[in-house]
Amino acid sequence: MLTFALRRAVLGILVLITVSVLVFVSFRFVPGDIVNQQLSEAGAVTPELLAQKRAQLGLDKPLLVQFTEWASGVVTGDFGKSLWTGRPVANQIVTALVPTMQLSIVAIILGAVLGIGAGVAAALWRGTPGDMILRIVSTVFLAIPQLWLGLLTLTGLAMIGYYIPLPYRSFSVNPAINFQQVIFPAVALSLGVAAALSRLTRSAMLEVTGADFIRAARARGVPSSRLYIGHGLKNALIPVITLLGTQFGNLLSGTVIIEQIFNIPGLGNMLFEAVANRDYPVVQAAVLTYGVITIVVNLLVDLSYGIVDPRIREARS
Amino acid sequence: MTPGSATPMTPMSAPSYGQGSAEPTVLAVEALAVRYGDMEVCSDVSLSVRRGEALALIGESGSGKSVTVLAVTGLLGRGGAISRGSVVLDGEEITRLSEKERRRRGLFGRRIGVIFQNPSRALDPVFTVGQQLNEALSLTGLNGREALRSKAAEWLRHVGLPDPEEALDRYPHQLSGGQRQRAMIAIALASEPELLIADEPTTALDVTIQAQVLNLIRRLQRELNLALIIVTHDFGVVAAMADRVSVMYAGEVVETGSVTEIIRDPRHPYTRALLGSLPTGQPGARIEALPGSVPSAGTMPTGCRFHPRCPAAVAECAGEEPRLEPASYGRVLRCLRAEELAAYDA
Repeated sequence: MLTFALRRAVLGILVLITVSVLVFVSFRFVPGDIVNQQLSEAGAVTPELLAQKRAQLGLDKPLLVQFTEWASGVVTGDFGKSLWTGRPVANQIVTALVPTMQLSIVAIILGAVLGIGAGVAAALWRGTPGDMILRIVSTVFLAIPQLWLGLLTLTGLAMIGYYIPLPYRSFSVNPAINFQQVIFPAVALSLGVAAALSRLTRSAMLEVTGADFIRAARARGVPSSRLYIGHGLKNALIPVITLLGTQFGNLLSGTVIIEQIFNIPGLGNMLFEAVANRDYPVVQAAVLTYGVITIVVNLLVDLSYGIVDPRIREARS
Repeated sequence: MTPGSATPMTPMSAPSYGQGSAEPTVLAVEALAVRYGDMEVCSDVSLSVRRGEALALIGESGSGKSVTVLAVTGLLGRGGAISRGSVVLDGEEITRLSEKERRRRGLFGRRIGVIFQNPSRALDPVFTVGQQLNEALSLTGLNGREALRSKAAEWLRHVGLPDPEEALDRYPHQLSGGQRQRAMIAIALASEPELLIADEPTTALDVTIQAQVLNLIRRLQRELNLALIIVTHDFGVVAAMADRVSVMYAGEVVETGSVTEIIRDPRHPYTRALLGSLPTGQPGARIEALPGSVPSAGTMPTGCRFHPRCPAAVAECAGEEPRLEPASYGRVLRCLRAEELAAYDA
């Protein structure tokens, strides 16, 4: 178990290094660097001024040198300073991480509950109108982009005369307002997840409920609820958890736009602005954070296999 | 129910011969037919079993023997339904009960226990043996962690699992095939049913442990005075396990009688062919193979279903459907020429 976790950790670090290099390099090839952005408003910009500004920010050095400087900072916990505000990036990340994590965790829980619930229901109602409706609804939500769903939610709320209170308040400051601010974007994010999960859960459940051990459990008088939720769902869960992990990644990328739409000062919002402003250290730190979250989620998914299935647990020990 | 109160439910066509037993009939199946959609997989099955009695149901694959017991247990699954006939348990008509009603009447587990063919597939891989045993035990009204655990361990000891306490916390894959089937037997019996159904309980096991498992089932059946139906395709199992045997062919029971009588003196041409196809153990002795195979539901021959393969078939056999009837010499069989052939033998 320990070697398993260690191996995963090493692998995770390799992934993070790769992601960092890719983002570092590719983003520098995006036309229009920060100096252009910053000086574009000003008049009388001379090439000398641009060069001077670049030197000041250390952007004139070779890319490899810049990367090494940045990476050695990261290793010691120093993510540098924002090129725009001059504030330490690490602080900004930590502040922005809270709303994003809150939003994505609420959304993934909603998505998992809705999706797995709908999938189990569809499997039990197989071939009935209920099953049909659930399958059509899930296909629809699978096809709708989160972005559009977010806009639609806002519009829909406005039409019934409800406006989400602003500005953003964190849960610890004002839970009531925070709830209203988080629940709608979370729903918008969760529906796609739920749609994908429900389809997989349905097919996994159908496969399991045809198994001999379900028939045997029924024969020994196991009540329906325990038969389907205990024996059925627990056996169908492995592929569902796998999808849940990948869906969390999707959901996380969805937060970038959704936070923008719903004015949530999270990591996505921060990244969005940093990209527009070519604020390199902020972009790099944000992407690295997303990477860490994704890796941790995948690790949790892998660990949960062992909880669900004793055979996997054993193979690892 | 006391031994003296034998119900009049025993159908005419399937009496218990050779037993002279006053034990009550536990299960009586009468002219049962089962359909999966348009396919009639089982057409005319009559059988009965008394308390303390072991009935073997023998036939080739596709003869409908497993479907018969699934129909009795209410486990036919999607698309399967009883289309004719009746199933009576303890004088109680249970032919067309819904799953909910079956549950309410305790037909699952509490009154009918089932041992399945393949214990590796019939035990849930992600639950421990103890958890699955508890599900059956809780039907008896037993509760409380300690009580359940000690009773569960007692059952595992009873079926001969080494280290019963430890085995409770094991998952099915951590046991050997034979141990799994022993656990399965414990689970089937833990709810204290009066009827035990074993559907080819040793087919999936190694030859070396088949005898152990069969002996265990037989011993427990006698100890607990259970009615037992054992489904098999192996006359060796019939001889070792059963008091009476019903022979099935193409969805119908063709002959029923006591095991000793049928093995010594099979009457139906199919039973004879089945016994004749057993290896004798003599080196060089030819095995009489029965030509052809069991007809499938779509291609059932007219008249007697066995006539195309029957060595004793005559012209009428293709035209007239024989009924399952008591023969003069104390046997129930389905053959137009039963009396004729008996006279010829004599």
